[in-house]
This record gives sequence, C-alpha cells and structure tokens, in this order.
Amino acid sequence: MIRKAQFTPQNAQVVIVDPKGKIVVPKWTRDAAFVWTDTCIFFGCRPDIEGDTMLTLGDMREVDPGTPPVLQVKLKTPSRKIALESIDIQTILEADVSGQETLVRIWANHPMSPDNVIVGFE
Amino acid sequence: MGMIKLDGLPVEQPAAEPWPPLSDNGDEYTIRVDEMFARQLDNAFAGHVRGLLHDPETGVAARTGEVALEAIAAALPALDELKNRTLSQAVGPRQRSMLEPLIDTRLDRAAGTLGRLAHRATVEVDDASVADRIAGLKQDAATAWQDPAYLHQLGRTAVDELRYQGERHGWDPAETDARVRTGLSDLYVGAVETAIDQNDLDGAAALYDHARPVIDPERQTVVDRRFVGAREAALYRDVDRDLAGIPIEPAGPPGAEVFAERAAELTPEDANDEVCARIGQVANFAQRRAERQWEKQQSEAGVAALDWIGKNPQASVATLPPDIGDWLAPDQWRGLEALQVEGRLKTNGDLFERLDRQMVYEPDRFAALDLDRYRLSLDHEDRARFASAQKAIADGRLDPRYVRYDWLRRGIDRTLKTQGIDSDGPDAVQVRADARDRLKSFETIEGRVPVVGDLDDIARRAIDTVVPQDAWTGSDENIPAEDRSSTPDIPLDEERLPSPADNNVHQVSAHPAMPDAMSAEGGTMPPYAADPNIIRVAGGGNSSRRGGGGRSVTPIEEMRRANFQSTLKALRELEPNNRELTYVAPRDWVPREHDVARVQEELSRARARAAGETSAVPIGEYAGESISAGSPGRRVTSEERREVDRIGSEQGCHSCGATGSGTLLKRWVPDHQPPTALIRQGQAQRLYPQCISCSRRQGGEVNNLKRERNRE
Repeated sequence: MIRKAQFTPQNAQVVIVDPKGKIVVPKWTRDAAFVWTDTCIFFGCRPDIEGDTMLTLGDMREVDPGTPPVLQVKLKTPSRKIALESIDIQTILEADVSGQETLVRIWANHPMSPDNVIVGFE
Repeated sequence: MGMIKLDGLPVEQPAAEPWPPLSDNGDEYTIRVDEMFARQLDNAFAGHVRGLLHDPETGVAARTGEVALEAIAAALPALDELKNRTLSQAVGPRQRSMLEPLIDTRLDRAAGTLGRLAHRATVEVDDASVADRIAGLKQDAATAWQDPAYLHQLGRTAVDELRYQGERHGWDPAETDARVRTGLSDLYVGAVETAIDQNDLDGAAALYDHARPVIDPERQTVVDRRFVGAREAALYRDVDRDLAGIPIEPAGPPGAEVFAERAAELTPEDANDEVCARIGQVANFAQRRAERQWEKQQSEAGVAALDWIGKNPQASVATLPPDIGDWLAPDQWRGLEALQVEGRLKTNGDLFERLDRQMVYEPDRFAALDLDRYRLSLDHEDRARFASAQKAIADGRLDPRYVRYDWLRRGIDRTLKTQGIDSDGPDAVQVRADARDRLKSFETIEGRVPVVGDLDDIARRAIDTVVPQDAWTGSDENIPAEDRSSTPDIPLDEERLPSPADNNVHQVSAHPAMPDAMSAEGGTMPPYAADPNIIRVAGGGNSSRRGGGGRSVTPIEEMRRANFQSTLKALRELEPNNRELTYVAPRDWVPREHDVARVQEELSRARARAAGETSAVPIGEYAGESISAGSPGRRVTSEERREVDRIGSEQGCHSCGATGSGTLLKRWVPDHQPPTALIRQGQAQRLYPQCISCSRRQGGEVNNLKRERNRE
C-alpha cells in the first residue's frame, strides 16, 4: 500500500522513525543531504519558501522508481511501524512493517533539495 | 494504496504511476546497489575516522603530549566499535563482503596515523620533561650564583641532558652542540641577572667575567646593557640615600639649592647629560620629600602641643618642651596662646574662610590637606565639620550636610557676585556665617531636613542682612553662564540619591538627584535653579529636567523617553550586561523613534535568547536586522519573505554568517526565533534570515529537544 502526502517541511527536512521507538537523533553536518542513526533519519527536502515536497511511503517493491536509491539504511522498528514526521514530531505518513529492524531505501529527485522523496521499506 | 487522514495535516494525494521498472538485468542492478551502499557506508566510516583522528577540536591529532597519548589509547577500541557498527549496517553478505575490506584498509591507515601520532606525542612528552629539567637547573643556578663549583656542576648536568636529548632525537652533532651552547649560556645568564637584580654588581661582574666564554654574544650585549642600567640605578639610589640624610630644621625645610649643590657633588665627573638630568630629578624629589617631612613635623608638633596642654593645664606655654615648641609655626603659637588664655581652641577666621572655599570649589585639593596642621587654629566643631567633609570627599560619598552647604554657598556667592559684592570681603563672610548658622539650626527648629526652598529662604535671609531687600532676586537671568556651569550636580537629600532602578538616572553621568520638595516651592526659584547641570529627577508627573540648553521636552518626546527607559529596564532584567545598557548619552538627549525601535528589537532578541538558552537554539551570533513574525503558526507572507531575503542578502545567515542561502532559488529561510516548536504561549517571534544548512541543523536540534521534553 502506497501512501502519499504533499508536505510543507519545517527546516527543510523530513524525519523517518519508528514513532514509538526509542530514538537517537543524528546530527546534521554542513552541506549534507541526509544524516541518520539506526533509529532515525533526517532527510533534506526542498525548503518551504521554494515550494512543497511530495512524500511517498510504501513497500520497497511497490515504490521503487527503478533508479538507484540515494540512501539505504537498516532502521530499528521495535513497534513494527515506520513513520514520516515533521520536525515538531507531527506524523505525516505511517505504515506497518514486518520486523523490528527494517531496511529502508530512499529515492529523491534532487541531491540537495528534492521536492519528491520516496521512502521504501522491505 | 491507502489513505491516512490526520487533523491539521495535508491530505494524501493519490499515488502516481510507479516510476520506470528496473533494467532487464536485475542481478546487475542489485550488485550495483550493493556496491553503492558499501561505498556509502565506507564513506560514513571514513568520515567518523577522520573526525576521531583529525577533528580540529576533538581529534587525536589536535592533542599534544600526555593528553594525546591518552587519546590514542582510547581511539583503538573506538575504531573497533565503529567498525562493528558500520558492518552491522551492511545488508546481506555481499554488501558486507564488499564493505569489510574497504573498512580494513581504512583501519590500517588509521593505525599507521595513530602510530605516527603516538611517536610525536612521546617525543613531546620527552621534550617537555627535558625542558622542565633545564628550567629547574636554571632556577638552581640563579639561587646558587655565588657558588662557582655548584654552578659548574649544574652546567655539566644541563649539557648532559641536552646531549642525551639530541641522541634521542637523532640530531646531527652540530645541532646538538648549538642547543647545548644555548642551554649553557641561558643558565649562566640567568645566574648573572639574578646577581644584578640583587644589586650585588661586583659579584655579578665577577661571575660574568668567569662565564663570558660560554655566553652567547647576543646575550652578552643584553647583559652589558643590564650592567649599565643597574650601575646607573645604583648611582641614583646612592644619591637619593645621601640626600635623604640632609637635616631638616624647624625653621624651615632645606631649600632646593641645598639639594642641588649636594647632588652636584655626588655626580660622577664622567656622567653624561642624561645621568646629570636624572640626578637633578632625584634632587628635586628629595627636596619635595623634605618639605613634606617638615610639614608633617609641624602637624605632629601641633597635636603634641595640644596633648601637652591637656596634661599640663596650669603650665605656661613657655615651658613647652623644645622638641615640640621648636617645630611650631607662628600661627600655631598664636592658637596655642589663645587656648591658654581662653581655655578653648579658637578658629582662625581667615583660615576657616580659606578651607571653606577650598571645600566647595576645590574638593580634591581640600581632601588632600593635612588637617592636623591646623589643629591649634580650628575649634573642635569646625575641625569636625571639615574632617567630615574631607572624609566624604575622599570616600566618594555624598554627605547630605555637605551637599546642602555646597548648594547654599554657591548660590550665595553667585548672588553676591551679581550684586557686585566681593565674595571674599567682610560682607560676604558675614552672609555665609549667618547662612551657616541658619542652616545648622534649621532641623532643630523645623523638625525636618531643609529642601531647596528652605535653602533659598536661608540664603535670602542671610543676604538681606548686608544688601537692600530689593537687591535680592531669584530670577534666572542674573546668573552668569560661567556660574551656572559650576553649580554642583549632586543630590541634596539622601532619600533621592540616584539608584540603578531609577530610570531617569541612566541618561545622566553623575548624581542627578533633587528632592521632590524642591519643585513644590511656590513660584520663586533659587538664583542657581537654571543651572543646566542640575537635573530634576523627581518622581510622579513632574520628572522632566530643567535647563538642557533651554529647549523644553514635548509630551511626545517625554512619552518616547519613557518608552525607551521602560524597554531598557526590561532588557536589564533579562541581560544586565547587554551592550545596549552601556551607552552614554548627553544629558538633554531624547531618544528618536529608531532608538526606541532598536532597543525594543534588542529586547525581543534578549527574550528570544532567554528562551534559546533553555532550547539550546539561540539567535545566531551574526544576527542583525529582523522582522516581526506575527502570530505563531501563521505562514510567512510573500512580503515578509522578500524582506527576509533583503536582510539575508545584506547581512547573511544569522547563525553562521554565510553569504549564500544554499537553496535552489537562492532564497533565505525565514527562521522563527524562538523556534515555533519551542515557544511558550503568547511568546512573540521574529524572523531572521538563515541558510539551508543551518536551518536543517537547527531543525535537528529542535527535534531532539522536543523528544527530550516529551520523554520528561
């Protein structure tokens, strides 16, 4: 099942986490497009002043656009859920996952300021 | 595909057509993806290793000596842990098999780097220990400079230490020799300089002659100069010591010519002009010192004479011991005789007038006077009065009694001047004496301290005793400009001393206080009331100042000033050391609109900083201009965005100072301060330009703080 949302991201980023898990947030480094820990991904989006960002969340096989993903991370998902959140911890999209550790792949249409971000999980 | 509806969040969009399918060769694609992510993980691993080893602030390479050795010991397990963590991120055996050799290669390199750093750190620790040892030997040499045998032994030890250090470093013999020579030279120079500092120039010269062959030629030049300077200083000391022995007779201090003659006798024949001039200065100083000693002797003699009279009330002053009597000046003798005749000390009128004038018009000079010198010429009351004023001036205190009298006397003098009466003449003396009496008895009669109206009345009554009634005027026009500027700017009433909490005080540089009751005087103002230095700081609705170049403050300006001051007060409560609080303004200054706007903006920043201190996301150090963000949650308008873009293009990112926004369309991120996610209810926000990197970093910090708060 594919979930989509048009999103105006605060601070030009979306947060990918298990919403009920214990989260260690990563630290941004200058000019990075994304940063991650094994419990949390900060993924850079287009800043809201330059438009909205389309977010897609779904099974990797369904959402894979056929191009190499820009990020692949194994994320801890102890509550078997994965969510895309805003900086102030508002859930934008959420999906169930099968295991307590989930392989996540992310595709984006721009290296630094994408306005189309696809998050696939296995 | 499904839909999730959440209140307050955008509604999901229908799924678009999937992106193009994979290429025909699926296996190739998977391998390519595995390679890419192995590289990605390897890059991240390399970044961590770089940080661990080479971060300018926290990396092992940034440390030195023993701290570096400790950091190296801690780095090895950290690298192992990092390797395991990174490998755990690999997906599947193929990715892992690709990643592991990459990581191992990097670990090999890191181990090599750590080895080099360890070698460097070991050398640093070794060098530091040698430097400590040599420093200790130099200290020993300095304390034992009189013992040539021990000095030789210390020199030998230093040479051995430095040669051994050279061996460990692998220096070539020439370099080792050079360092040994420098070390030995430093050791002996230190010993010679210590001998010079101890003023044993002969001993220092003997040691210097002995050690000269091992002292570096450049250091020899420095030591030679020190010898010249030390010999001159010794000469000046000897001259001064000799001049200090010139006897001081009761008849008067030795004249300058006595010191000059003796100094000339002591000046070496080969002395150059500079040395002669310095000896002349020493003689002048010695003569002034003798004068002070002579005056002190007179003061002590006066006090001693008074004590003697107290113990020998029936004895004639003619029997005063000569070691006291000889030192008494004629005016002291007269005071002493008056004391014996009248049984009490009597104030010398001329002296009193002189001191009284100095007290008001030359307070610094007055404060430096030795009042004991006039012990026999002032009665107890007058002496106590002057001593009290002197102490208040010296302490920098505002003694209300002194301040009231200062005010009174200046007013009287000014009025007398307008009437053409000599302020030092008998009429003026009488007026001031009368005014002092009235002032002294006022509190007893009236049961309250006098305020300006009362002082005005006292002055008027005192002046009326010597000038016709119609000669008195309270009009401002009669005050000469030069007199206005000399009026003291000091409080008359202890209740109105300036305090930091008094808003009006911040605009003036000194003591702008005046009692409320001063303004309540009906109609007539004292002749000194128009003095531009006097600022009315009364409370209530009558807080405006008078004078100020003659321009009155309009109600709007008054409101603006009040607004400015209340903003500063709020700012002070938040940030007592804020730079906006350190301004100095002319006394008649009225803030302009943009001054008010500036301090209000600073107050907003301070409030945001106060919130930032708890959020750890403060306003950046490059923050300049900003605009109001309106109500929380409201979207930034296009006009506001343009304004933020303008500020950003002029002043850069408020967090990092970057001059480019880093966004696709080169627009600046309007950063809400304090951050929206962290504000309290009703808290105002402002917008600052921010680059995209700082915006993301700040977003991450806000997210972290928000999660921490949720956990709490």
